[in-house]
Amino acid sequence: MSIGTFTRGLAALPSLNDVTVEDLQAFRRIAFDRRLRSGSCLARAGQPTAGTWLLVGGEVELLAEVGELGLSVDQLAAGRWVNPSCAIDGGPAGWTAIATTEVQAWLLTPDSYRRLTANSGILARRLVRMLARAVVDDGDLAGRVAARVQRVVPANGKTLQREDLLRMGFARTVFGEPAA
Amino acid sequence: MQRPFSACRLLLGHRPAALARRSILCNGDSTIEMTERDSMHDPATASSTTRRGAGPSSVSAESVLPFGAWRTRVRPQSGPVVLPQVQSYVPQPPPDAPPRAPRPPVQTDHIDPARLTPWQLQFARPGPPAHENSQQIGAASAQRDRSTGLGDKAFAEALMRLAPQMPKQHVAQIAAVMFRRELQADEPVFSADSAASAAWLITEGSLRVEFLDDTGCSRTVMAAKPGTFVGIEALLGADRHASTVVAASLAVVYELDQTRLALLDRIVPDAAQYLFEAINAAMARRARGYFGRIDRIIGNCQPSNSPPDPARGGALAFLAAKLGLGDRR
Repeated sequence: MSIGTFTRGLAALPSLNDVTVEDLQAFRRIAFDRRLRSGSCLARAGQPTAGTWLLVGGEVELLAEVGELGLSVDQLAAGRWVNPSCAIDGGPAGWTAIATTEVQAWLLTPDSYRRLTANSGILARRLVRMLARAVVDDGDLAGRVAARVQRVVPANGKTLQREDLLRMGFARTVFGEPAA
Repeated sequence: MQRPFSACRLLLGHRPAALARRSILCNGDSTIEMTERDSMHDPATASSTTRRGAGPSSVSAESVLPFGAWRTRVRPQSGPVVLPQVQSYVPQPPPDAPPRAPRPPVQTDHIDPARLTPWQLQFARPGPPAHENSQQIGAASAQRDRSTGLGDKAFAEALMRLAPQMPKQHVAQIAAVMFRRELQADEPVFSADSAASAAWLITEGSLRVEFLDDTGCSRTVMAAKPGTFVGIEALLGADRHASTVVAASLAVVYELDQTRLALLDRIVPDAAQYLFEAINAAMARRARGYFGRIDRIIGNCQPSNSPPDPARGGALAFLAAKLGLGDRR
C-alpha cells in the first residue's frame, strides 16, 4: 500500500477528521514507524518515554497503575495518540500503554517536535494543532480519572487499602518493559 | 449593479477567506452557489460546505478558521449575478480610496503604536465599530484604559509566564484581541458539557477546575492560577467543555475566542505562532497537573506520613510498597 493511500485512509478516520492527507504525510516524514506485537508495552506511567505515539493500526489499552494493579481508563484505536504531552515537554509518560493487538504506530520524539515547531509553515501549524487537541483530550481523561480516584478516598481519614483499589476497578495486570 | 461572473469569482475566489463572512445577493433570474473548501485538502477527501440560493434572495456563509487557507467560489447556475456584498471582519480600504487622515494617538497603555499597522490600530483602539466584534474589542480596550494599569501588568506577567520566550511586542498585540472580564467568587465561567466558545487566560485570582467522577458527582481536581488558560479546547475546535470552571475568588480573566485568534493569526502571524506553541505547552502542563493530582490523592492516603521515595517511582510506588503490591517493574 502506498503512503498516499495509507494516509488517505488514516485521514478518513473520525478521530482525525479534520487532518489532511498532507498533514499526515508531513508527520510521517518526521516520525519513526514502529510495529509492535500484542502485549508489548509502549509506555509505563511515571517512567521516561521515547515520545508520543500516533496509532495507525491496532489497539492499545491505557492504564493507571499502582504496583501490580492496573486500572483500565481507555482503549485506543487507529488515529489516537498515546501520551501526547511527552513529545511536547519530554516528560515521563502519564499512562501505561499496552498493545492489545498487533500495533503499527508512529513515534514523535521531543526532538522531532522541536524541529516541527521551528518550521512556521501552515502544515507545521496544523500538526501542532492536531497534537494540541490530543493533549487536551488526554488532560480531560486524566481529570476525569483524578475525580474518580478522589471519590474512593476514605472520608474518615482511614488509610487506602488494596480492597479500595480493587473496588474502584483496579485489577492485577502484567506490565512489560516499554518499547524503544 | 451587475458584474459578470468572472469578476465575482475574482473578487471572492482568489483571496484568503479565513476570516470572511460573505453575503451574496442575486436577482430574480439567478441562482448562485457558494462553496468553501480547504485548499489544503486532497480533493478526493475534501470537506466542503455549499449553500445555494435562488433569487431574489441572498446567500451568506461564514468561515472562521484560524489556520486553514480557505477559498470561496461563486458559481452562477443561470443568469447574471448582482454584485456580491462582501462583509469581512477585517476592514479593507477600497483600492481607489483617498489616503486617510492620520489617526489620533492611541490612548491605551498596553499597546506600542509603533509596532502596529493602521489596520491593527483600528482594532486596538476604542472607536466606531468596523465590524460586529469591534464594539466588544473596543469596550475591552476602554476598560483596560480605565484601569489603574495593574490589570495590564498582570496580563503581561501572566502571558510571559505562559510563554517566556515570546518577544514583548507580541504581548501588546495579543492584548489587543482579548477581552477582559472580572469574576466574582463562585461565579461560573463554563460548565461541563456546555458549548465551548472561548478560552480564558487567568491574570489575577484563581479558578476551580471540576470534573465529574464516575457517579456523576462534580469534584474539584485543580486550582488554576494566573498564567493558566482554561477552556482551551474551544480554540482547538472542540464543541463542548469537558470540565466545569468556577471562580474560587475574585479573579480577572482575558477571553480569547477562535475569531480573535484567527484575527491575530492574520495580522500578526508570529504572535499567533508563539501563542499557540505556548498554549500547547500549557496544555501539556495541565495534563501533568491532573496526573500529579491522581498521584497525590493516592499518595495522601499512604499508611504513614513519611515522604515518598523518588527512587521507587513516587507516591504511587511508595503506596504500592506499603500495601504490599510488589514492585512496579
